[in-house]
Amino acid sequence: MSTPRSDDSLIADLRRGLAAVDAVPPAVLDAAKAVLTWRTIDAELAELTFDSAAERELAGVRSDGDEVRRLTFSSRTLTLEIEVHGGVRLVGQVVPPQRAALELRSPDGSLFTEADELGRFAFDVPPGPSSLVCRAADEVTITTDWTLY
Amino acid sequence: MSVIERGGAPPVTPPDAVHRGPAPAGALPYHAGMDAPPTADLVRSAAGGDQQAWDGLVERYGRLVWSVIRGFRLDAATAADVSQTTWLRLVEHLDRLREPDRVGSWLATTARNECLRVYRRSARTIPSELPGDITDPRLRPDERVILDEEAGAVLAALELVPEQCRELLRLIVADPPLSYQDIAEVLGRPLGSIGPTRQRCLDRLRAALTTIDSGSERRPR
Repeated sequence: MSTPRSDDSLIADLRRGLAAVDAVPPAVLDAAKAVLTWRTIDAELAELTFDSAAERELAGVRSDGDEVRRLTFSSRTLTLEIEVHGGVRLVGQVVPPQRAALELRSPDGSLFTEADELGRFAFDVPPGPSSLVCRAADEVTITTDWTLY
Repeated sequence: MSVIERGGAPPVTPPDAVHRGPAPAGALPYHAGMDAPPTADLVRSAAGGDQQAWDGLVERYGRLVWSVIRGFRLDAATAADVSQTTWLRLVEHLDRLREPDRVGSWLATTARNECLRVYRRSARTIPSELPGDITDPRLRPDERVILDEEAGAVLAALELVPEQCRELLRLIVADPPLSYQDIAEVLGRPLGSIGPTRQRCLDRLRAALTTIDSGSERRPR
């Protein structure tokens, strides 16, 4: 083992090693295959355009688990401003403010609520990824990017 | 043949070695052979609701996504959540990808960004967990992983190099392979920096390996 190792030999060993210890659990692949059924074709997508969790390192703010995470989902017609308190309670607002029917989709099932005339709504955050569906009065339906809250 | 069909066979070889069959080292990964549909076609078909095409995408890029996630020290359940979030996000973006043939790079970038977000919310991480340790039996790929001595030593050396090198080296050996352009995009770094950084990181890895080797020679006999 005293001869210097070539790049190619290092890379070959690294590839073999990582392939062995990072083999994908079958349950993870199965779960990924099952998600195509969540495809929505009749809704407008509201993309995640701001996430305070992505800014945190830049701002040098330490995470203590109890703080408020802020997210913005934007589509052409509507914006959803979200706050997640302590990782468990999601408080949102439809912008521009208006009444709407809200659904929080997750692979475990959906939660439903109504936004008031100021567009405000709230949910308990389910475990795992979830996506908001907002049905506004004028037949506009938007779904947000799937997010791990 | 797919990963999920592996039954109780003894884990002599890592799962993806099974798919490669007798192909020589460095050959194209499975599903990328001559008769495999181009990635862009799979993306288009999956966008139209074709489950088989979607399964093809998962089989082609599932290892890449998982490998990116495994580079972060997330607990096993969170790692599975990030993988699921990545694939769910792709479902809604299938018909709006700018470069459908580069969906691998899109997936790796998405998984990495999601890991960074989770990582910064420290409550969900177990910093002490070593790569290779998966405690949740549901998420354990095999009963045990058999590593040859050389590969084991290189993995130990990987733990000794700086974080940035670790991440780059993981992407260098990604399966299916990523181009320098893909890697630059995933890491958010200039394309021209990838080659020199790769060389510097390989040198670091080699130095770490030397340290480990000389350490084991000093063991009491």
